[in-house]
Amino acid sequence: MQISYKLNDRFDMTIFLSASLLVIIGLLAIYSSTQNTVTQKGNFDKQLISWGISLFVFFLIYSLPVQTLKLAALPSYFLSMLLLLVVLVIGRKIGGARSWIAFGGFSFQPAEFAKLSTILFLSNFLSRSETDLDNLKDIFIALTIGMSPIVLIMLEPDLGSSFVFIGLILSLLFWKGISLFGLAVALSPAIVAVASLFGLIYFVVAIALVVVILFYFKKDIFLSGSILALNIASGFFVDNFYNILSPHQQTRIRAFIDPNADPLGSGYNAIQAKVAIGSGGFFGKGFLHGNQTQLQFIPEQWTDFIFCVIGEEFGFFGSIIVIVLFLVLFLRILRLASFAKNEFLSLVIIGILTVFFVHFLVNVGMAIGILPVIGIPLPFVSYGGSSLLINMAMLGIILNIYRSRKEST
Amino acid sequence: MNNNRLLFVVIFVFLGFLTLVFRLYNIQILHNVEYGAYAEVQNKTVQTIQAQRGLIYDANGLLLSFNKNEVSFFVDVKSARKIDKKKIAEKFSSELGNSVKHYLDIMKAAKSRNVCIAKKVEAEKSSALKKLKINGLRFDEDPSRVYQYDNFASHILGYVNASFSGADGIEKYFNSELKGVDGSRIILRDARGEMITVLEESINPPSPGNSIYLTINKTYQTILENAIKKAAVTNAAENAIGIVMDPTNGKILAMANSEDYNPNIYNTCSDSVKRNKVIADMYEPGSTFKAISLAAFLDKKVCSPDDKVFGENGSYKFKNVTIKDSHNSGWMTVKEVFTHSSNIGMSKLSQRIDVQSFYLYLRDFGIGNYTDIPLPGEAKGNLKNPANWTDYTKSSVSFGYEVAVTPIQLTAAYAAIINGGKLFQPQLVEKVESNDGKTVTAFQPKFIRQVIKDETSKLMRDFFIAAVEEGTGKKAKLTACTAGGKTGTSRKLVEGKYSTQSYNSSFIGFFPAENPKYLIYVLVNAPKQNSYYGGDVAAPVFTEVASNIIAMNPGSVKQQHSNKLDTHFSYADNKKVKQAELVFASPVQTQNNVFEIDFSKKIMPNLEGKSLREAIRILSSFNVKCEIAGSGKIISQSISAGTSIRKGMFCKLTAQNETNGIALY
Repeated sequence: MQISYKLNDRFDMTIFLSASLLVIIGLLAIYSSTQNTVTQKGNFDKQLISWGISLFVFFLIYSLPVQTLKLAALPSYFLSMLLLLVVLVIGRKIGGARSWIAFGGFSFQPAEFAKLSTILFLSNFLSRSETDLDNLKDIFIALTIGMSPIVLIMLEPDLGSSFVFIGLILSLLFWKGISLFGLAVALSPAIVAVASLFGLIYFVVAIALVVVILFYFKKDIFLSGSILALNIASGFFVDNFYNILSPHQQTRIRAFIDPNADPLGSGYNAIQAKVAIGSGGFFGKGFLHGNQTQLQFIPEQWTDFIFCVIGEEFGFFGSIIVIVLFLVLFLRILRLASFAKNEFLSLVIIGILTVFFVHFLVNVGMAIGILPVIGIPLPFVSYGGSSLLINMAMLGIILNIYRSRKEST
Repeated sequence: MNNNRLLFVVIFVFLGFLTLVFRLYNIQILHNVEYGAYAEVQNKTVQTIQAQRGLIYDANGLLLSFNKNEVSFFVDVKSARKIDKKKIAEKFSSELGNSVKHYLDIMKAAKSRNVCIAKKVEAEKSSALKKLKINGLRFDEDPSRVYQYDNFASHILGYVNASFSGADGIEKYFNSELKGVDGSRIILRDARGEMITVLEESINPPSPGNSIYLTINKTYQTILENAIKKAAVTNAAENAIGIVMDPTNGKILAMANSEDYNPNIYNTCSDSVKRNKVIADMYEPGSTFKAISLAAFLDKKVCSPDDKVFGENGSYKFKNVTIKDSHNSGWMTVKEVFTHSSNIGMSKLSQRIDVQSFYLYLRDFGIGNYTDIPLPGEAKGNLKNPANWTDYTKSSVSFGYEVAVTPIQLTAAYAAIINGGKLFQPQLVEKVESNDGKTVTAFQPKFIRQVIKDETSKLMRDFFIAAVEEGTGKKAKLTACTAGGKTGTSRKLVEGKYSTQSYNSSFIGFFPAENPKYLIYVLVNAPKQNSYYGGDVAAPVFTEVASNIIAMNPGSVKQQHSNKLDTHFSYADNKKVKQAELVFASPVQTQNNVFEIDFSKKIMPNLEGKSLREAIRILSSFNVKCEIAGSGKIISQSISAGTSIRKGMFCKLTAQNETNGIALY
């Protein structure tokens, strides 16, 4: 009992076990979806090896002194910015995006690393005593820290990761205690931007909404005017940005707006994913018996569309188990955030939670057709070494913070 | 503040989860059936499994036609990558022997997405290739029908078309028996449409087609084919056809056309070659038809064998028409009318029977009606309805004109004449047998009706024997046993006129004469060499076929031999007997009667005013070739009357139409 108590006090089994279960479910799904494909047959083994490495990194980070996080914030941020620049030059192009750096037989996505380093650096900035989010200048600094990697990632272009960064920035600002006005200022450009993708009417409606908000807060005319200008600019920026997107990403966005318009083309993935999950029924078709999966109707089903494998072969039952595991994981992480002994660590936990949550929500959402097909993996479940490694590392950071919560600084 | 925000985050997270769970419930539980159906449709395809086609055997169980399970290979040139194509080319090259480049070129030259790179690969070679799993490579079962004796019995067997459906002959007539019932199976296809697996539980196996056993005997068929082909060549004929039938039950033992084809490569020959002339072509039989008429007269007892008729010394004017025999007879018995093949005699005898009775006999013999032989494309011949008979028709029909028959009809009627009067439907199929060897249908000889009395039949047999022994069919004599038969030489209708160049030379005979077991029909169509008389051209073919059959099967003629024929006539000039059947009726022309022409003097007669047919007949009797302009009656001739005829003369005739005289059918 004594030992058990001590272990529970230093290590959160709930988080570790639910994450491990998710990895195991992921391994099953990877096995099922790749056993029939010649080119992806080794994925199961590779993922198993990646898990081993990730566990090592997890325990390594878990046992580091908690101060390391703060010290690493600035250097890691600049390192990841450097890597994001490097990948634009020497990156390997896969699926239309230049997002991989390869050295030796190992390849790696700098954007994954950038998520962690941005959390650390932005949390660090926000937790400084002199930072005041009622001050627009600090809001802009925070936005700059968050937006810089987005710009670089957009150049790859990697829409999914950019999406995660936007969520990350907003949630950290929110957790820091940004005022509603500040939040509106930070959030409105994103809303306007997304709205402008749907067409002119949506853009006009969004701008009208911004005008209403500005009237509500009754700030001075200069400030309100510049915020409005910023919003309008972001709308135009996105419009232009849409044009520089790679064709496959443009079609993905169009496919989300109307997936049935081109069922064999851009809407194909969205429909096939729904068909796979929908045909699973309550208990699913059984492991290795999902026809949609086994016959490869869904591309990339071992990574971005892995939830389809689970939905088809394990049914509603299996899908709910996965969702509940994530829910348990998230609520437990949220609980740990309140244990954190200082604001920086609390922000880091919330940042990591946001990354997990956005990945989860967007990934499952696109598989079941409530969000556009944006290529981001399902944490712990999807095939992918660098993704698993970073996720386990982030989990290590959370448990490190938990372990060290009673230490005095 | 932070607690409020925590609550906000928790609510946000829960909302997110609830949305996902609600959506999952919606598509996995509420719409499960629709999505499930969609998935089924897109990855399951029903595929037919072609049933094994039934086999065809001869009467002794010798396999004539079977299937070869071949496979054709296709490459989807779009989904096969460059290395795949190279791999495919190399594998096929090493298995099938063509160069690697050969296969690469085929793929390169592909006009559509799918290109066939190896057609109908044999089973031994294809088994390794079928196992290959290369992007874009697929195969289809592509069985071939094999006729292992190539041209053998081609008109009986027929052939199957590209979709493996019977297109002619037995293959067509019995297609529904042979083809079996196709099965089906459900296959899973992956997203690229490639077959992944067969759902075992979905297999609905095909049931193989039934096999057909013919009445054809391979040995006899070969004998007949060889003899017929030889006859066509030696006589420089357009073609020749033959039938061997068992007269006691109508079973066809052999049936041949000299123009045959190889059903394995059926598309290389013309339709006219593929036409089975035995059943599809009708012609005016001429003298061979006299047997049918005479059988009717005797059976109706309008005459008796010993009745005498006057031969009019070779030319007989009857109802505006002159009928001629080329040998001038005086009084003849009925039997002599037959053995000498006298047109005049037949014409006179025909006057003793009423039209209705005569017609009924002919109908009963099956003239003008389908025999219902189980082959596609049978013609039914032509027998005029009595209402349309002119004064002259009865006479004309009695010696085989104004009536058209198919060889099979005539053979079936002959069988009835000699077998005791029983008409049988020609039988070509012995039995239909299922794949597991059970008899599905055993065909029995189909007796249709008693046409003439047994005693009439017996009488007719004697007449036939006499025709061979003493009459026109002397060349049909057999050494091993007595044969009976009747010759026939009829002019062919060429573009509506009776030709002097083209004849149908035929012989129908049987043996052993007392108890006929084999009835052999021979027709040589338009012989150009030597003689054109049935007795010269067709009778020797009968002899050849018969003696070969006897040689193969000596037991068939055991009970021997010959009640000597009581013929006290001997014919001084054999040639005259032969000519007897050629000479036929023609409309009488006013003064210029044929009587006046003296053939022995070799002086060109006056042809003006004669019908074209008559003129041609006369010129050909003098061996003068002619060219004709116009039609109808002759108005001028290039060699004037009175000129003495020399060998190799050429006469130009000009004719003008005149609606006079009787159209000869």
